[in-house]
Amino acid sequence: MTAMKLNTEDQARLEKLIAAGLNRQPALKAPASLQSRVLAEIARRAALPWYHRSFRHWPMVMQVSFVLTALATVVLARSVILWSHPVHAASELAAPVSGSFSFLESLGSAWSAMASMFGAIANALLHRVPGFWLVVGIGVAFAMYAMLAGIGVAVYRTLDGGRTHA
Amino acid sequence: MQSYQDMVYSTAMRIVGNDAQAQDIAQDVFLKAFEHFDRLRDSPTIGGWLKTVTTNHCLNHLSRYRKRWRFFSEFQRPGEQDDEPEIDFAVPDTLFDDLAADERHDIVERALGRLPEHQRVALVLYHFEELAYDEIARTLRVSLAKVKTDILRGRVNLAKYLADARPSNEPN
Repeated sequence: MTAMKLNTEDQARLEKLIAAGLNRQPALKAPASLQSRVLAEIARRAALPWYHRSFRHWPMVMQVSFVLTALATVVLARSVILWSHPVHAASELAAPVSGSFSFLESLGSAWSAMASMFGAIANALLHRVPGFWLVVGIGVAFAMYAMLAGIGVAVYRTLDGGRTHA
Repeated sequence: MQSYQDMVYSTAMRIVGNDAQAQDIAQDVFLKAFEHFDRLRDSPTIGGWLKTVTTNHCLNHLSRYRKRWRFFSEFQRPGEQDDEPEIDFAVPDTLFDDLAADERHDIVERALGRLPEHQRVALVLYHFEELAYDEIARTLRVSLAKVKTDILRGRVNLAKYLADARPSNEPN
């Protein structure tokens, strides 16, 4: 038997040999501790108080109570704001508040606000920091990034190389 | 649970190749099954459900790990081309017959565990989970050519490990 390049026929023969062997392979025996681990975890989760579980697993009464309480809090907060300000001031207060909410509801507005904020920061930087130092800063940032990437590749190849080269 | 724990654990162990991770995955699968107990209790397809959930769970686990290294993994190493593998290997006439049955199981599992992850996962999905090449490529999000190459190389490496484990090759 001499080493040779695998042709299609050899590949098919190898597949048949491997398949025949693997098909006879029985299931691995699960560790005896697996069942007790699962049962212990089920017991642990069952023993958790309802407020430590996800909302989906809260008792129905608590779910409904939570939603009602949340709504009541919003209504109460609104009432307190209206009560604590004179009626004529309420409309003045409501305008910026509703303006803020409509701003939050609109993702496009949020994005444009972010863009204008970063634009303003960039504009301020361009006017206050000399161009030379900006170029140096960008160069240093790029060099640091390249260096970290290089270290990462070296570490990955050192740690993982032995396993992926078969 | 007793009826399925070996199957779930085997599937996890063969895909992830690590005992502790396989146990964690098996535990998560049974906890998930417990959450769906009402639906699964009388289901005739519970075995298939458990196997599918285990496989998906393992692949998610591996892809989470792989994502951390994806940037570095995508640097292709020399000799890792996806297509036209040139492999020098003489296919033996027998692979498993020379091994005693009681030893064979352990030797094969150990040999599977020695394969690189990308070869082992593709090989296990093909031979144990009976997925087709294109299904494996879709599941692993790699090219069809890479799946074929990984499986072929996995078979060759498995055959080499098994040949090394034969009694005639053991040191006296």
